[in-house]
Amino acid sequence: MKLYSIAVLLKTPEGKGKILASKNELASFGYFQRATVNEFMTFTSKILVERTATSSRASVKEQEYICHVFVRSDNLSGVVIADHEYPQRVAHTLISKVVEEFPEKCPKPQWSSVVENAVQYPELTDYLRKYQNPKEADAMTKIQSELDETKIILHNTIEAVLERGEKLDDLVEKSEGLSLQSKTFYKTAKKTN
Amino acid sequence: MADSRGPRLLMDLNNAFKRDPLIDEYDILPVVEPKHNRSPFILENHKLGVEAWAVKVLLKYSANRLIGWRSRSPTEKFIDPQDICNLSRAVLLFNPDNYTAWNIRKELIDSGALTLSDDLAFGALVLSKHPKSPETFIHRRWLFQQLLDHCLSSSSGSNSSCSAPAASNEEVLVNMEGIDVDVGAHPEVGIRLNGAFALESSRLLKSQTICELQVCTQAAEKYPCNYHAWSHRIWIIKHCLNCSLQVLVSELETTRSWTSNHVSDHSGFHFRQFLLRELHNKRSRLQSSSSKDFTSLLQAEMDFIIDLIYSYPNHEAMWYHRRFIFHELLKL
Amino acid sequence: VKDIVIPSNAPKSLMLQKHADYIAAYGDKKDDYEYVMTEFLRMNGMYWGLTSMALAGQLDRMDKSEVIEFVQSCQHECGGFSCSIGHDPHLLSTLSAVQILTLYDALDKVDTEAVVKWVKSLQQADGSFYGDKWGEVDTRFSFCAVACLALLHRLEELDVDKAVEFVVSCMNFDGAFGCRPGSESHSGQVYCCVGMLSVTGHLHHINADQLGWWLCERQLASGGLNGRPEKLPDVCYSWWVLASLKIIDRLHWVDKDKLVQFILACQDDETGGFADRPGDMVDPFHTLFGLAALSLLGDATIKPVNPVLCMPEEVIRKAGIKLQLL
Ligand SMILES: CC(C)=CCC/C(C)=C/CC/C(C)=C/CC/C(C)=C/COP(=O)(O)OP(=O)(O)O
Repeated sequence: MKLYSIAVLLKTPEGKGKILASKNELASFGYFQRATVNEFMTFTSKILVERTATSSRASVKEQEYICHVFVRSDNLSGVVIADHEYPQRVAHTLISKVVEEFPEKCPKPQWSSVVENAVQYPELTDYLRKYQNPKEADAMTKIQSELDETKIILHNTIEAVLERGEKLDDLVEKSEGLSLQSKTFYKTAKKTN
Repeated sequence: MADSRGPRLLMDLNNAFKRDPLIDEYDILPVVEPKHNRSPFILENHKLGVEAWAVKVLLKYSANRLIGWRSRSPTEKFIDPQDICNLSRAVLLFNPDNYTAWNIRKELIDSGALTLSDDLAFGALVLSKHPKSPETFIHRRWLFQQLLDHCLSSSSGSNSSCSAPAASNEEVLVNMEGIDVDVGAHPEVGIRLNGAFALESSRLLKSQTICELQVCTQAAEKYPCNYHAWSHRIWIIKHCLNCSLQVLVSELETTRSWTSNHVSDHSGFHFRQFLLRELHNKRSRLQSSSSKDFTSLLQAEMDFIIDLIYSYPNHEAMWYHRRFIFHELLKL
Repeated sequence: VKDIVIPSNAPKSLMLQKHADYIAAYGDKKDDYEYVMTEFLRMNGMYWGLTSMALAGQLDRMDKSEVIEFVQSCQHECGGFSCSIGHDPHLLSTLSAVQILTLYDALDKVDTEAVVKWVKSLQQADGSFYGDKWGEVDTRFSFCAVACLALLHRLEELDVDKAVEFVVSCMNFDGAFGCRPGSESHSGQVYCCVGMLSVTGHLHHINADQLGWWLCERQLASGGLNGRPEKLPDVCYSWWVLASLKIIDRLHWVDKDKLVQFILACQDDETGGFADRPGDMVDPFHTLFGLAALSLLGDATIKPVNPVLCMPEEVIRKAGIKLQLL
């Protein structure tokens, strides 16, 4: 089981996802794919925060990945990207923990003004390492009970999260966060899949 | 229609390997049209990237020449063995299940134009990109069979340290501690095998066998439920490590954390089933030589799987494993 | 659980004519990169395509003399066939070659005596078979060897008892089979082993209830079948699993309606052909096994298929080949 990414985002008043701090673990990807994977993780995290209602949790499957997202009542949000083996409960607990802790690193008044992805939050690296093994990371049983207030909505694809008429292909094409290389990669991967 | 860019691209590929013999990974870069003034090859940090359009041209050119030569087409009557080696490399990097290209390399080995260790290293590179290529694993089994044969024939009569099914019942002294050490970083490149190098061939077999378990683990990591990687591992354990008790026990130990980290990987669990069945067959010797009791090994396996099932619900693979343990318990 | 969700706009009825057109046009792009990439499968590919056409009742659209000439040119001095000109002989391509020639009733066009000798030479002391002279052993090759010789009516040339003994030694505790003794169970290998035991009349070695159970467990909520636990469904397993169930008389253990729905959803309604899963690229391999599975499931517009040899029943009947079914 693998944990690939943790990100803290703000869902802005315009409904945009803004990354405040994030960390990815890309060692399992091919050397030449890492930059693209990195861009896609950011891209996906934003899309999901933008399309998840305030005060709700969701887990979205996308091929061999599952993206877990939580948008808190104050619109501070977290996204964890893991594989199918990674326990959903633990992923959501990690998100809760991170959004809880985040204001200590960057107080709320600064969220809208800080530069994208520039908040210093070095502990993310430790979490990403430690939570690779969920059993060691936390007493899992303890975790179970803490989450129960919000239920987690499950989606089978990213497409299922999009609004009516929206297409993932178009979003990819339009995205400013994706390089030309990443867009080509997306298209060629799709064709031969 | 012949593409005149082929020979040039092949030369560029060969030069890349000449410049960096330690290339340990390669990939196809998503560039579908040639860009003016830019080489389609990137070599960085021992990683080789080739632009997609160039792969197509290169593969068509190389495959047509190689197979043309194989079918004795009038235009390809003679090609220097080194060039054959390079052509088959170009083909197999991007079309690893082209079994004829692997066979051509077997012949190059038979004739001494290519060494076993070089070809093992090349196959490992292919697996880094194509971790489930069946023909790549099949070719590796042939390479190991060659090593075993060399080893047996060059040491017949003497006190062999090689293992082979036919050899003897003695426990083979393979230092499995060595698995954690990164032996893979320094394969004994370039040792030519013949009678004069009997000692080397057995040493080579040993170090390569240990590397091979590493190669299997990497392939299993890259592609979940990797049937070919795990059945290859079983083959190695049987043929090169003689299913020795020491190896079985140490494998049971080392794959424990792997499986608990890959709880839906049925192939990984099946490998443990293979180990347990072999240990079952050898249970009396297990008891006498290490005072380990097979029943308690099974009990430990049951505890292990119960704990995993509780921790990670909803994975069929672990229930299958549990079913297997019950089967074994019933046989006691 | 790993599975797929069938998209609501996926095809729901069989588009047989489109599939036939797709196959008929497949060989036209010989200069393509894809064509070079799949050359090591050409003979198998021809068998997939021609059998698809035969099951669709449109074999006459294919160029028979061109096919036979190709098959002839792939026979080597040793007797075996290669996948394509200039490649090496192998049991996998040899079975396909023999199947193609049987389909066309043209076995007299090649040296069958040499085929028999070569296949025989690949059997080992323990009963197993090498795939070619280089020595790889696999239960797939046991199937190919007996199927070849059965089609040539020369099964008695082999040491059948030893061959059966080897296949049986590859059975696992779950009643299913792997590629070698001790290897993981896999539905593709199950098909080969069950088929091998059927050809040789030794199905009594199988625990049909136990194996049938394992095979049925391959069905997922989407209706599709997978090859092993915790893998995605794939149209080709509709064949490997279903044919095995048919041979051991447990076909009624799967949910047929859901399976049909899954298979139909894997059609491409624009290009024709079947893909492994809904929305993926189609190919001749999945097209044959999609059609053949639908035939086993009783689709009357497709010709009845033989579950052991994956060829039209009428061809097998005409050739006078007897196969054991439970
Ligand atoms: C159809 C006729 C008449 C003959 C063909 C006979 C043969 C050779 C059948 C092959 C059956 C088969 C599919 C064997 C499986 C081989 C195997 C162990 C595949 C595992 O590879 P993966 O690529 O991991 O496949 P999955 O991921 O689907 O399990």
